Amino acid sequence: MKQLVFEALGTHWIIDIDVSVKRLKSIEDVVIEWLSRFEKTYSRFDSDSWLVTIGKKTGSYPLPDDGYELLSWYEKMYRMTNGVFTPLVGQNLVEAGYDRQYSLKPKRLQRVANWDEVIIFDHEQVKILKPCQLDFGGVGKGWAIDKIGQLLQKREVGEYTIDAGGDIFNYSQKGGIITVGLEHPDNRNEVIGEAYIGNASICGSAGNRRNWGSFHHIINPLLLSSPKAVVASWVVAQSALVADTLATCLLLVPLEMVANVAEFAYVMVDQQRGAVFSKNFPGKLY
Amino acid sequence: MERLVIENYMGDNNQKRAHREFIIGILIVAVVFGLIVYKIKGESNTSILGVTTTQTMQNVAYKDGTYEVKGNYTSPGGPEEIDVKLTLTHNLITDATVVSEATRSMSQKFQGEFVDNYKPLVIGKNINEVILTKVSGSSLTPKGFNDAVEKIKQQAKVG
Repeated sequence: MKQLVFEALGTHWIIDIDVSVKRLKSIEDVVIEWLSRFEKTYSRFDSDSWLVTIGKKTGSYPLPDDGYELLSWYEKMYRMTNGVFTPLVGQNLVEAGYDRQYSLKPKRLQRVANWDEVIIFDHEQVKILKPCQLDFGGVGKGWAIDKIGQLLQKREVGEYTIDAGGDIFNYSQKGGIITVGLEHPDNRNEVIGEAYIGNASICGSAGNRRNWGSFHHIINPLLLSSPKAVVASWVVAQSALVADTLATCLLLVPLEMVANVAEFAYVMVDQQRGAVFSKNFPGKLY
Repeated sequence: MERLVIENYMGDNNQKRAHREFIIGILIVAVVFGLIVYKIKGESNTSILGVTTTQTMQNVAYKDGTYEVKGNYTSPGGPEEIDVKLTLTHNLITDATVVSEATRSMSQKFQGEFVDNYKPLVIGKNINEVILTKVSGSSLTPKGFNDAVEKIKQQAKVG
């Protein structure tokens, strides 16, 4: 196995990949090129990104690559969660201090607008009806992991594991399985269990790392606060998009609300450090 | 804060029950309103509202106890359900707990149909004691974020 190690989308990536040294370089170029373009388009932290630009002024904008799919998925999850899972939460994140400068000085949070007041889109373009601060953080990394996986499979890479800051997708033609530890929400040197992942994704969400004051990097736009009842969640699904999205959703809304979106398995740790996990969870808690 | 004064009421049991439900309904509206105001202030997500002790009910005898009702309100994102629990002692609301269904602690809802297994307390093992390919948790933080946290810590020390 070779490794590609780099920083992208605000996190540390490690891709384990079974290819020759010769092919590794060209694969690295493709991966980095794709991620740079994705970040340039959808980052909230890049003041020139497409996502920031369209939020500044009302009007119609042509959709970039993946725009239709990302917006469709976001809208579906927005409706399913009664508006809790929304790209418009970008405004609240900035108000809470999670802004481009990482000021981390919370101001008063204001209710964000409804989807229908701000966003209309079709296959070609998106119409922004009023200025807004969009954030694709809830889906972007999962989408990117899947896309990188497709790039690798197109190049006939038979074995790989993509690890983007602990959100993981594993592919193995030979049916190999990896063991993934579940990080303890209170102690990053400890794990509370393990998951066995083969040709699937596991993504986690928790407020333990990126937190300041009463906030962490996930904010409930209806309650104007960071969720605290569920302190950590993991979701195993066929795609990283589903796993990443649902891991965040499980911190924000009751499980029942999102239970039908796709097949998945989960573990959740609550405030009292009890854990709930689905019967189909491929792993164990210690 | 809303002050509810309830008139003396004499009637048969059914009417009395209806009346009681009506009053509880009013209280829920008051508490829900209070909650919404509270939420808008951005102070808390799940809260025990101390304010409700100012609400008095006069001349109507209620059994002491806790009454639990589900309340609904429409948020900008659509209908929301909340769980309102009122404790009455000597006709006074001595406690009111409002729990948003969306933030409800799992330990309270683990009987739910989707929940399969429950472990009362997770146990951590040192990463070095187990054989793992990878570790999954909260995403590693961007460097800029870590720097900012460090800066705030330094400022706090100086202050």
